[in-house]
Amino acid sequence: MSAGSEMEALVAQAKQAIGAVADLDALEALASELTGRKSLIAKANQELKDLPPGERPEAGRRIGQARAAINALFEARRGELMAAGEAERIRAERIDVSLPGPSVRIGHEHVISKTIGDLTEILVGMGYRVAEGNEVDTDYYNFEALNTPPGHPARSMQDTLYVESGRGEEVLLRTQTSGVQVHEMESCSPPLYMIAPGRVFRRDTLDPSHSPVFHQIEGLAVDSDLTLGDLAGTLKFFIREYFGGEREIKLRPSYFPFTEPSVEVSMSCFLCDGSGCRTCGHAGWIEVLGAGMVDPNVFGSVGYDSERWTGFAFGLGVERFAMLRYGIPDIRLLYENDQRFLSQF
Amino acid sequence: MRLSLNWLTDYVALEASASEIAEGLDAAGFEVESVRRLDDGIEGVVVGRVEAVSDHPDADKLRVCTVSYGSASEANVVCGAWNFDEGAKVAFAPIGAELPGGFRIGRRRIRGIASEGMICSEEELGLADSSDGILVLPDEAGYPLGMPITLALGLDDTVIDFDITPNRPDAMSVIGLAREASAVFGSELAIPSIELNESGANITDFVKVENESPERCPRYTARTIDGIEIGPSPEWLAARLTASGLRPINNVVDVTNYVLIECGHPLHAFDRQSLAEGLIRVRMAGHDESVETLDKVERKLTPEDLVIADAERPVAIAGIMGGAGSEITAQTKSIVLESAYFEPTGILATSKRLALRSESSARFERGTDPEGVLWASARAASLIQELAGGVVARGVIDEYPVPFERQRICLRPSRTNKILGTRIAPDEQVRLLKAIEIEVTSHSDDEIRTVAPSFRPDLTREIDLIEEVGRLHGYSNIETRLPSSSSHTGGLTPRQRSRRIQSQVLRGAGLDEIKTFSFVGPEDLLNGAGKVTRVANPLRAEESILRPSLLPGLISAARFNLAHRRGEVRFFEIGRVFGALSESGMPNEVEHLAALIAGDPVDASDSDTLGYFAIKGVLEALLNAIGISDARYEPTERAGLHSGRTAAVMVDESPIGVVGELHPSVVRDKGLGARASVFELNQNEVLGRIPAESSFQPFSRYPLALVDLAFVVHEDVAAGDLEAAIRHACGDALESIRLFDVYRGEQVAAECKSLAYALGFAAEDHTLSDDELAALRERAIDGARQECGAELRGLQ
Repeated sequence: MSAGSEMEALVAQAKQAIGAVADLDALEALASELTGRKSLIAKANQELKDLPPGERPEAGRRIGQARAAINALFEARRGELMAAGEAERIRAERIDVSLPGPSVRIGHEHVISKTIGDLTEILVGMGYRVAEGNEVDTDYYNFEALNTPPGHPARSMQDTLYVESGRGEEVLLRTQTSGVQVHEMESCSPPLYMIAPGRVFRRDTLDPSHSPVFHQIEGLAVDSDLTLGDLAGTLKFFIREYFGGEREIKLRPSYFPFTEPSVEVSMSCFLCDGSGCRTCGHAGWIEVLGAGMVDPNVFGSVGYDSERWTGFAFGLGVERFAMLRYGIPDIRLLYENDQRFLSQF
Repeated sequence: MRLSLNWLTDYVALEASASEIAEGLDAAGFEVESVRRLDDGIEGVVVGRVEAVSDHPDADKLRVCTVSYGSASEANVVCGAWNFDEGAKVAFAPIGAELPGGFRIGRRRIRGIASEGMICSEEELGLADSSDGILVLPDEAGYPLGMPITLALGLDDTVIDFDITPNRPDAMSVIGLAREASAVFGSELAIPSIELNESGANITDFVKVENESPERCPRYTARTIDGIEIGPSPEWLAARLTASGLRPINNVVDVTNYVLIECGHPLHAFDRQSLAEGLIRVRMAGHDESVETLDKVERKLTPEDLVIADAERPVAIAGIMGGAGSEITAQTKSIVLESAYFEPTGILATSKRLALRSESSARFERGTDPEGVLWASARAASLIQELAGGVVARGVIDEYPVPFERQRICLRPSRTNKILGTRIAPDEQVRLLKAIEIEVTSHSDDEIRTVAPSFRPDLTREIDLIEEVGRLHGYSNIETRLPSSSSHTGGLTPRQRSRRIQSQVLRGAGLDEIKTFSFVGPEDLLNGAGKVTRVANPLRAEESILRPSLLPGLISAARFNLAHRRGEVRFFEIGRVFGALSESGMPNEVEHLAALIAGDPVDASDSDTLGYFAIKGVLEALLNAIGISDARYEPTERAGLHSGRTAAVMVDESPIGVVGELHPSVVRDKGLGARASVFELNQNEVLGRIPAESSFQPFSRYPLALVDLAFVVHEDVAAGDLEAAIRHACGDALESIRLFDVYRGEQVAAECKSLAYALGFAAEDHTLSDDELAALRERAIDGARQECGAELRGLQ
């Protein structure tokens, strides 16, 4: 038999054998048998050297063609078998896609932290940096340096919790974050734009609208030409950022010892747009914060020249903002830490 | 301060409606709490007379009354009140009448007897917050039967309730608010003139005043009135007091209250016969002195309290409340009328100490008008003369050693505009100041010289006048703008940013953030009452200690949740905790971060989800996220924690916190389910150790060669130490090391364990050769053997 017809027969046999193989493992075993080192093709290749030199190129070409043809058959069959296997796998692996994935529980930020974070973000964007003060402070920083000397009637507006310090009523749980103003002004010179979020304390019994512990954010701006107009503009911008662009604000003259003029700030109700509803007590307006121009006596206590610098300060209740925004009816929910409450924010 | 509009408009003519008046005064700084028609909701209630009273046959506490209420109308009603008899004039609501709150009177049967209406109390008419019994109209008042009760009681009025700020004692009066209204609405203020007939003998014949404490009582005046007839007040006076929230008592007391509300100056009337030796002595209380006040409470006094005494004993706590012994009674014929100015802080201190507040103390402690004393006294004397008869003594005793000096204040109009951001002309500023009786002595464009009125103790500085100009100009007229300075940028400090990352990581690990109070009670402390800082005046024992740790709060929150739903809780809190007092008397205040996992595992077979390693995994993730990768864990013991499963978290040889399981007894006592584990970090240590922003570290681009090694070590050897030994031995070539198996059992010796690690080796600049890899492997094995006595497993 000529080398040529031998090869043709080889390819024909291979074609038949490959077509009969039903799985990939058997196919690879067959591949090794038909094209591996001990295969007939390999043997034919080795025997080339025994042929007369004149016949070698032609025989070599035929062997090469046969090997390529067999390899192509293998490749095709491999493709068919893999496709069939995958099709089978897809059939077998069909799932109920509505079943849940393994539970990955993500925790929740407390709504007080969330509110402080949201408000802080707005104010930081407006150029304020964030200061932190201590929760236990002295009478000096909480009252006296804020133009509220002992015996001042404004002291009875806030019932104070004192610390057993051996120093009488000198060490206290701060009743307001306003003291941070004084600490900051003592350590920085103007211009100064800062806010101070933090915990404050009052000697109050816990009820739906009072808590002995709550949070405030104090804001302070000191610069060379700040006016009540800047304060009003700042608060309007800030309140619109938080409660929506349609909010109007209203300033009512009020009284805080450490600001003068002092104002109580209300915004048009965000639920009824000022027409009156339960949330605003049918007034159309909701009181949201207190503010004012820094009293010259406060500047005096930190050594700022009140002829050269003017400033404004504002203070807001975080719980109040959160309760308004999310419609939380009772402040106690904020400190009860019921998971059904926590997981809502 | 409840303001009757009928009363207000006696002093200032106003076209505006009640709500416009309320709005105008609110915008001027007098916060309106409510506006209410007094007859709101009262419909068809009339004056009636109780003609007959009989017992209810079937109820001991009820009576049956026959009430006539005009033009032959009569009704039988069942009534539960007992403060009246036959002949009493009452407020009667016949069938069909309506009471506040939309309550309509219908025909009812009460214990078998038909009741055809209702005899009303002040509470039911919305005139008082509470009532004992029904409203009985004074006999003398000749109300015709059937007259609408709203007319009889002067309820054709509107009351505005104000929350007056403490700097404005002058506005706690009708005249004070009338003055503001006149400025707001541009209407003239008309203060009543006084006609006083001093027809009696000289005042010094009746009473003597000795003022021993002129610092606490800078001015004391007295008048006397003799031969008065005590009786009920006329209806107009009773109506105004009721509208103002005061209960009518008798003509003399009512007049002093009327003048108090009218001008804001508190007065007091003593029964002159009750004063020993006819003497009034203003002095400090002695040790162990006490006085029974009008509310029938015996008050213990201290030498810090100012009293009004007679020759023998205190007869009033000055400026706060009169004494029962010198009270005006039905028998009183002669009175001493006190009008004084008391120093505010002394009144505040005594009123606070005694927890005794009155209309009087509320005004004195804020500062009354020292120059208004005589007007108030004369006004009251003339009204008493008019209503109770009697003869007013000639003259007035006026102990006033140092006359009050009104404050001179200079205002620069330019300064007003600089503070307010306005362009209010100097002349306009002058006009506004004058409108509230600030005297302007001279003015130019640069300077307005003023003298503050004596009733405005809050006006002492230029800024005080600026505020007056501003609020009368109207804050709604101020143009708003944003600060123009661009020299500042806002931002968070690295510490604040790291805290946010901490919160995000913990939430990502499935923990909810909680907020708990900063106080704990003694039983909440895990280590008993150690060194803590206490609250000096707590309201409750549970709030008496400043929390020394966040764990009690986390435990309480977990307990609260697990009490009503089984399962797991995973909480964290970031907040301040307080150590013991430092030498300065301030507690050591530090921010902590703590987390807790507790409850019953969802998969009951797998309590590891709640144990030490569960919480430690969270802690490790947390520390890695903020760049702390070299924490070590050393066994430690801590009160309340499981001594075999607790570690100190160490960074650079310093403890930064603790991690562990709660002691089984704590878990049991606090109802925390099967198991609970916690960690608590000192944020000063943690946030202080966060590496500054790191720069890029080159890494090997060559294949990582993995080598698995299992070591057998004694139980006492900590995995952390073995790992450190391997790291140390291999140096930089060790790119990663991962513990993948811990085994104890038959295949290793007793009291030993097998720890299997996957070591990843790489070089920065080439692929490691087999020889190099073999050498590194030997180094790891040698290091583990030398430092920890570890043997390669399988080589034993």
